[in-house]
Amino acid sequence: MNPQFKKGVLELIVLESVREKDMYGYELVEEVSEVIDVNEGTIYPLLKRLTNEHYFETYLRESSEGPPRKYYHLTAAGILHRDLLAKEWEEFQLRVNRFLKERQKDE
Amino acid sequence: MNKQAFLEELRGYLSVLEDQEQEDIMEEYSQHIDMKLQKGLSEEEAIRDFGSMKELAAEILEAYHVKPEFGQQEAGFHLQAFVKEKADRSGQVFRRMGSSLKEKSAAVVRGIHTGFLWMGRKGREFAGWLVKPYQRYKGRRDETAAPEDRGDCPYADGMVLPERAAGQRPDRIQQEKSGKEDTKGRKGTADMDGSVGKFFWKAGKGIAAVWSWFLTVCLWGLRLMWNGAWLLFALFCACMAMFVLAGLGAMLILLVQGYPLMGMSLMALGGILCFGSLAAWAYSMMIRKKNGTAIRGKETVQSGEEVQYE
Repeated sequence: MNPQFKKGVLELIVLESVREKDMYGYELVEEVSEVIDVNEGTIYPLLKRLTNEHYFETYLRESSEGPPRKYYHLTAAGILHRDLLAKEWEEFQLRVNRFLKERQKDE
Repeated sequence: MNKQAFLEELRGYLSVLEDQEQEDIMEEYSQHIDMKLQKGLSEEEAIRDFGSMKELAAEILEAYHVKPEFGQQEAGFHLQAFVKEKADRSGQVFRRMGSSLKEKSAAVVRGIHTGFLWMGRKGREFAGWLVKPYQRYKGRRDETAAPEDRGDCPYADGMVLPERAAGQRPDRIQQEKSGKEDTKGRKGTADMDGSVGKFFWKAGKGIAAVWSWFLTVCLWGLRLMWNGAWLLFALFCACMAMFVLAGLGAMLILLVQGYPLMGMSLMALGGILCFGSLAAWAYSMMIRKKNGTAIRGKETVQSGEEVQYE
């Protein structure tokens, strides 16, 4: 997949992944990797940026498999941001699909 | 590359960030590698999935709103050293400017003071010049008559008769010199000349006193204006410092709540220091009286007219 496409939509996928339940970094990377093939290292900076922008809150939870894990929780601001991105994405992909279909009909 | 080497190299790229943030990132990546190892991957394979180290570091720095170029200068780059070097240079420049300004302002004050002293001296000379014709006349008169008018007046300096220098009373000297030849009319003329001389002497003295009073008032007014201006400036700077301090307090509260106001807070801190220093400097520029002596810096002005520069 085009890296620019992935980069543009990655934020929405991450926000949507955490909307249902709180997740820790590795778990989130695996979830996102199931949707798009993405460099694992790029997820953490994105998580950090979204946390700095108050879309995520973090907390530590003890783990039986090792050290405490940092969990990411979507805030109210994060939910609003996610809804906005989802709406934009819908509109964007509708327009692009409509354009592509019209061109295909012309041919 | 093993896990330890990867983390060390990554830390080198991120040295521009705060230590706590670096630890946070290292912990996250370390945990990620550990989980991959638990799934049976080797350290090399786990690290390879992160891709290019430079790109990864650039993305992390971008998340912190830091220019990625800072991360490229990992070898030997230390933000604290950089800031310290810049601060030292700025400090040297400001110190040089401060000492130059201080020297120049002291020279100006010295010049003004010397000018007033010169004017005072010239004023006294002018007063002396006014009474000089009478001095000459009086000097000629003293050689022949009216010795009782000599000696006490300041305008007869250096014209003491030898007999007076020897301790004899002027009237006795006069009597011995003139004897019976001295007539009543002659004595009357001398008395009249003496009273006119006293009048001119007192007039000269009065002019000198008025001129001295005028200079004193001028100096007092100048000092009042000087002190008033610096006091107003000091008050303005102090008010600004208090205002910025209040702003800093509000920003620190927001900063604790997670708002990105670190830069603004540092600017506010700088503003407080700047305005506080300006207020203190302005206050130090005021000329203050202490035990009858006006003091400003190292310059000491005695209550009289002499000036001593320490």
